[in-house]
Amino acid sequence: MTNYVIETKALTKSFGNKIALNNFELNIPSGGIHAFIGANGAGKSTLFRLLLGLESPTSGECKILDTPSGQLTPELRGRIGYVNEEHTLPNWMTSAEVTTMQRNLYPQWRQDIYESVLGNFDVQPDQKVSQLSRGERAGLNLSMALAQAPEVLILDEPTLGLDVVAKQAFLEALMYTETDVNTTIIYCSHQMEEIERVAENLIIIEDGVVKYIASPDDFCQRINYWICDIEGDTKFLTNLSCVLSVKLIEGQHHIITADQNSEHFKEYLLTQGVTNPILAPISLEKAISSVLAKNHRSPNKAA
Amino acid sequence: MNKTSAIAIQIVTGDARPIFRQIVDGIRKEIATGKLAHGSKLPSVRGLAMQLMINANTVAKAYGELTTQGLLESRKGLGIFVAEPKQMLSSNEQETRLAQASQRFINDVMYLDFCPEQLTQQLLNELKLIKNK
Amino acid sequence: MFDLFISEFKRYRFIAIIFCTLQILLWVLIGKMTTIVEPHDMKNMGLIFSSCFGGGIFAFASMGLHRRKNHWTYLIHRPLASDKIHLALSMAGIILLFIAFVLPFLSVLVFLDLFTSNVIEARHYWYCFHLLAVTVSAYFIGSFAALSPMKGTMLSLWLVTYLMNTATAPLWFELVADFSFIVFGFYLASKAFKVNLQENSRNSVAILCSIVALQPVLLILLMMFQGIYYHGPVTILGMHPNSNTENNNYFNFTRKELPLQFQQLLEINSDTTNKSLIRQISLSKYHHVRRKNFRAPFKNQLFLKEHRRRFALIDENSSNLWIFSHQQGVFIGRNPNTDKVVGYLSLAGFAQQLATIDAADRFQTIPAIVDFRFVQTNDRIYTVDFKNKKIALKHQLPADEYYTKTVTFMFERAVFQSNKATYFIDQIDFDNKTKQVTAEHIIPHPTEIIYYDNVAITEVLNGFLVRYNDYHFYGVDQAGSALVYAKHDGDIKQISSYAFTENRVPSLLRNQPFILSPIVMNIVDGIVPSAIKYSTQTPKQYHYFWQQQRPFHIWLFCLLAALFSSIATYLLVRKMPLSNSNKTLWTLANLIFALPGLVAFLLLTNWHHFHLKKYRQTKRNQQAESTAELASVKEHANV
Repeated sequence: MTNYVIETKALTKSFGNKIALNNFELNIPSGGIHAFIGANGAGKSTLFRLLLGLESPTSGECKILDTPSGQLTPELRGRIGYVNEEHTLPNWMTSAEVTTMQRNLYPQWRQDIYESVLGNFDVQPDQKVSQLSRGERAGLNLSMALAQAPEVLILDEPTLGLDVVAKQAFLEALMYTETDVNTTIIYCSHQMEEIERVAENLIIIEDGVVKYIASPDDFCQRINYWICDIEGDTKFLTNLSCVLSVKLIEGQHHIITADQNSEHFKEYLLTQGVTNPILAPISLEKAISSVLAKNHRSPNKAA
Repeated sequence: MNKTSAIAIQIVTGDARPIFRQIVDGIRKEIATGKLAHGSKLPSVRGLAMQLMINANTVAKAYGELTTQGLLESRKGLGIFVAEPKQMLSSNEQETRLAQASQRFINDVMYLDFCPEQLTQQLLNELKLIKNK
Repeated sequence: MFDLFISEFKRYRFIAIIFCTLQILLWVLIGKMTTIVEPHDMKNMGLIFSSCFGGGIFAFASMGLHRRKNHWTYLIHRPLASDKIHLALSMAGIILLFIAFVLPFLSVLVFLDLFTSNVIEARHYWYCFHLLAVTVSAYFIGSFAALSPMKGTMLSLWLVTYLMNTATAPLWFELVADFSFIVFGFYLASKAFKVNLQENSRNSVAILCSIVALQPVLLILLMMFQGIYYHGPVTILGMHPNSNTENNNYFNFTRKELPLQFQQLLEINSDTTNKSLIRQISLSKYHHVRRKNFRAPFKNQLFLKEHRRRFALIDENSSNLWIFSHQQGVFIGRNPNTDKVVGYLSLAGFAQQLATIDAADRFQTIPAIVDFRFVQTNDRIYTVDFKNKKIALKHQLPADEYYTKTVTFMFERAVFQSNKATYFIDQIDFDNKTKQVTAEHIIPHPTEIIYYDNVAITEVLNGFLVRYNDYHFYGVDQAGSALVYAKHDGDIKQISSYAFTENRVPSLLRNQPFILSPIVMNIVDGIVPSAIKYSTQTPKQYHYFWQQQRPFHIWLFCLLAALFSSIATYLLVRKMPLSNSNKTLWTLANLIFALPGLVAFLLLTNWHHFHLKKYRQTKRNQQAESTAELASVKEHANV
């Protein structure tokens, strides 16, 4: 049995009447970059707060590095890195002071990693953090996070608001820094371009539940995009659970299905009197957004 | 040979094909067109990943798939090399693969405005190009 | 940890220095207008208030800034235990508050000590320590309120009013109280500083401390509640007891005009002398004994708590001020204009050199300065004659007595009280600067009480009539009044006394400070001087519940209130996901804390999450919906 770095069991968190995580089940083995994808409010940030022990679940349990989150010791915290889009740092200190404070806390600090990562960003040691641009702060934050050589590194939309150059530098540093520890990286983003490049495993979350776990190409194979002509009622489609969306575009129906054998579905369409069903290629971005948009109201929904 | 050959492929995000598949197809094309000679050394997993700005594991996966297909071979301590062409598949498997590839080709071009003759001619031209290299 | 301390210090260093500088400038300005070391209500209150509010506001600001989601994550998620983090922040906080609120005044004192001849000694520096204790305690209690997940803990800020109390006390008591507040506050704040700020503490001691922290303010709120359930409705119905002036209760009695009070007491016995007295008092004047109680200062008591009028002896022939030095035991004369010491005054008289004064001649206890001209200790009064440079003993009390009221002049007499008797002395004799006097009348108190609510005196043909009123004359909640006739020929007799059996409001509404929290607040208010002065302060001998004789139904109410609170707590706590030890703790605690404890329970826990039917129903529905959806997804997904 592989050791999971992150485990959750029936993890539920609700705020009053709103349920953020609903019987969330997730096991992440060590190593690799796992991308978390979900709409805003899907529950990702809540999940991280629970994993770090900053809040307690309404029910269920979660573990990180084989320890229940409510019992994380300082030593274990030293092995978990966390970076989020705010890149919160004490803005009254200089970057050198912030780094020194960080370095003194982590016994396994790798100064070489810090310097090589920071080299991609233009940050002067005596610059106050408040004077750094967002990209520079992100770079400083990431340099420090990687220099900690964490076993688990959680990044929650770290490149939000970064310009092209900073984003590039950030992703390069993230993917190509070798830390000697088999770091498991959890990467959250909305930006498909990043996800495609960075992820080896996709975890799609919606409404507080894990919907899909697959590698990008496995996932793409599970989603099919059909274009066909339908005369008459399309009600039979909207009741099928494998159908993610149905759109009417210039007289033709575009249907997206998930986890449905394409042969069987084609036959089924033909029996329903659908003419000329054609399977079209679908990009990862389109596939993901179809999955997430299933429950959202779509303007072109066929009657 | 110790010198690493360059792999001049490009990956595109937002494409219908996942990146992994783009790398596999790209390297196959480079080998098929002769740009990557048999026995030449490929960039390391990390090197290619940095060139393409993608996750190294995806490159590793692509190299792994190509090695399984017999196009690449790993020499211990030396790196990954383009394998000498040898047929690893049985004739049944070859026929199945040919059928699948043909179907993919047909799926891709079905909606284009060419008649079967034109399609056949195009295939022959491509093959001729490879043979010449 | 040290890095974090430096980091937090640097964050607010600039503001602290600005505060310090501004205050120093303010003191320089004050120094130009008045004497800095002269005690004054405004100075004391200004310093204490600003320290208190400063500490509290700083707590809310700094913890509030740290509490923000991402900032909290940055602070807490590191390989450093949370209590060490809190310690580092606290140390920085203490230093910053010292710079902002204590250093200014301390600098001023040091300057005056080194460069002027002002009397600056231990009691001045101890005051600075007290300021530090006040601001640090307010900071810790404020941190506790700012960090706690339950908003009800804000009410604990009321505790700082204890720090603001102006009652004088022995130095050891002040230091113990200060130290206790610092430790208590630190403990509360430290336990509130947890990784998960949304969670309530599970530590039994922390829970008990947070209940205690709320008790004073909850007691007051529960008492004020009578405005809603009693005074309001009763006023609306036009039946408020204040409007019932016919009732023969203490409240109405004390609001009668003095002649009527005296008359009512005289009419109790239909003696012939009484009838004559009634006629006489209709024309006479009335005076009260001083309202304020007298107490000689404690050694090294915090200097700004002294009364302004007690600052110095004033020499009417010059501008010299004579200030008592606790350390030396003598008065030190100083000319404020030339800043020169002009002499020393001890029991033996005036001297030019401090060294020439023997230890035996120095004051053994700290005297108070009364009316700028009398020197009064607990059992002696001296007058000082600056012209002839003499000090004379004016009056001395017997061994087991001490003064409780300073002198009031009335009817050509000097009148004051001790714990046992009221003294009448001829005024001219008293004013005479050299003669030691003996009292014309020494009227023993009618009961054991030391301080009476109100003592009024009138003069009749053959003597004085003295009327004593007290809310607890015969015992707790047993109001009474007595009238004593002191004849000029020496005969003293008690004419009458009256025990009020009727009351303005029902007994359960009187003395609510006791019955709502008989054990806890009764003890707390007995130990720490309360910042709230109740109008019916029980005399010291009746202060604790074991000293009090109360009617049975009061004790029954206390018992029932305690049982009710405990049982209600038990019922509410059953369905909550607390550990068994916590559940037992709450149930048993509220047996002792009674009703304020029950309110503390409602404020400090989220009991309503587990007891409101509507909430549970919604949750169940939502769970049913989502489980169904999950099932349909799982059918098709390869999870």
